[in-house]
Amino acid sequence: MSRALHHYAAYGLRVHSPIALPFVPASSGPDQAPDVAVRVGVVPAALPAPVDKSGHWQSAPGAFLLNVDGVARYLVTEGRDILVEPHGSDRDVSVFLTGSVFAALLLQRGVVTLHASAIETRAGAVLFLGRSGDGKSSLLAAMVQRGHAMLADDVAGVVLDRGGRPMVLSAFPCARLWADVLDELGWQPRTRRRVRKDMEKYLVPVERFRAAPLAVRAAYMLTPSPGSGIEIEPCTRRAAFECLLRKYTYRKGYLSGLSQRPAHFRAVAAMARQVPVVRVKRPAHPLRINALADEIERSLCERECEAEPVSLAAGASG
Amino acid sequence: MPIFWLASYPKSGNTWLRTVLTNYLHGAGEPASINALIGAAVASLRSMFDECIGLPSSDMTPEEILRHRPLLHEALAEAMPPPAFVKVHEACVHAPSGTALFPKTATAGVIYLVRNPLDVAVSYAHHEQRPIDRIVKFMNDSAAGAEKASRGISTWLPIPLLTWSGHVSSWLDQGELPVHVTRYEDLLANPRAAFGAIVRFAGLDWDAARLAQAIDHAAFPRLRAQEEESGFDEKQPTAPSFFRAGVAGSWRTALCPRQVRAVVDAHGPVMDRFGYLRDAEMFLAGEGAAAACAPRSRPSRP
Repeated sequence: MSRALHHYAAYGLRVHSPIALPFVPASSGPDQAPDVAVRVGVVPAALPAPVDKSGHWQSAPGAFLLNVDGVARYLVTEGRDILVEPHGSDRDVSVFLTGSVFAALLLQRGVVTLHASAIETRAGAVLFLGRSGDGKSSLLAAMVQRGHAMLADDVAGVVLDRGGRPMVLSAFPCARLWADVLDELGWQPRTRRRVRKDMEKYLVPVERFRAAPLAVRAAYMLTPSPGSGIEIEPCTRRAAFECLLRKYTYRKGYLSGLSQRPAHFRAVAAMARQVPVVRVKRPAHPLRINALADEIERSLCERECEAEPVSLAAGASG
Repeated sequence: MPIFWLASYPKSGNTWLRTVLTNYLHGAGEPASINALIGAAVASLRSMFDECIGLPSSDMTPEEILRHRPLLHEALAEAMPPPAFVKVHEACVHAPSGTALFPKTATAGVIYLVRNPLDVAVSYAHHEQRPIDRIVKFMNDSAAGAEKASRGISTWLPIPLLTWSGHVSSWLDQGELPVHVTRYEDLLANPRAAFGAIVRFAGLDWDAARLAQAIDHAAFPRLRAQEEESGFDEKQPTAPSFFRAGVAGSWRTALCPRQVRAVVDAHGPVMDRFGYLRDAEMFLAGEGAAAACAPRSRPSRP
């Protein structure tokens, strides 16, 4: 079976893929060798010597296998190759490819994967950390509407630059948003498509997108709480470290088998040392997304007023 | 450690049971905080699924999530230290793969609480702040589920409930897992005997004095006072309070005969099995027959 090869850029990597990634624009320079090659082929049912595994994934140094029943089996090798054996539609295959599978690839490359969305502000990148359902994509959408450029949705990749500064990588220029959030924000995207068939969750392209890495200026941890108020309170470095490591590392289960734990630990420690981390208590229901965005903007504004100017020289805004 | 599932239809005394068990295990002179109860519903938590399964539940269909739930329950049983109690409102169904949602290997036993569905309807309506008619209909919908919002996401996984009768039968007639069933009304009428039997079924060390103290610490006015003072994390944000009445029989004044009739028509056989049917039928034949029925909250169009 022959498929056309698509050329993309994501997380600072040149990606060649026979599986189309919806709403990700083709990148120029197809002649260059890719950093990541996605191929379609037969994926073995198991790794020869898995170090760690659950019912659906197995990991070993340099190798990661994921099976999504009825969708695909994926094998990620050495942070460079992704072999896909599709069992479902290309749409479904791409959903898990750009999520869990890319997260495993980034972990293999020593990138810290955080369960977070990220935006560009005048002072630098701001992360919204949250577990599934905590509101990070909703908040991202509200902030994009308010003029901020998007860097990542759901999985934010963070690396340390040569000076040891945490930098967030720019991911895919689209967000996964539920119908109720689009309604509440009054956002009627020019185009959109369902993330999965029959699900009222949509993949929405985001034009206001920064396609270059940016130093992390602050991180907000979204915490649904009883009560109806929104409270923003600072977090100690110790608590920030614990949360980044245990609560917000995306797919931290994959880590031990990949032998990346020590590097991950060091990078998270560096981030907790340098980046102010704030806890945002928000009502569990309803989310009150605009009120939340107001509070965050106010807090960002105070932060900017106090902030020393942060160099944006890491790359031109895309 | 295999898990003791604290299973019940919503609003059937599960939180009260957890409060008594927490106080019994703590054995302290002071009541335990209602915001640190054992037996939290961790198996229904989205973040727990994502972490244990390694897949994003928010990008998965309800069927796909259900298919992976048995594995989650196995992983939890492996990870939990004793005493492993987990609250579940899920019906005891099978995953689409045919595997039991609550696998035998992950289960030490099932402590099932059943409550008069007429009282459940009153309590559920308060909890959800919805009209009783709607709750009565919901309790007779075999596709019903809690946290089933289709246009958004919650921190909980979708919870298959079935009908009220279907829920009860799914747990009591499955024939695979050892079940200890207790009526909410018996917990109220004779707490020492009813909670005592649960403590023994769960294999906890027996201490009558400790149980008496735990029941006292979990007395309804104390729970309500704690909620007023410090709030309760598990309350629906829209509900005025979680601990509402803690009594049996409030349906007699809260439901109209038409609503009682609807519940009886839908759940008569299972109500009969637990001794709830006779009262309801006497009500319908006697006082209820004379009482005027409240209009439907949302009249149907002509």
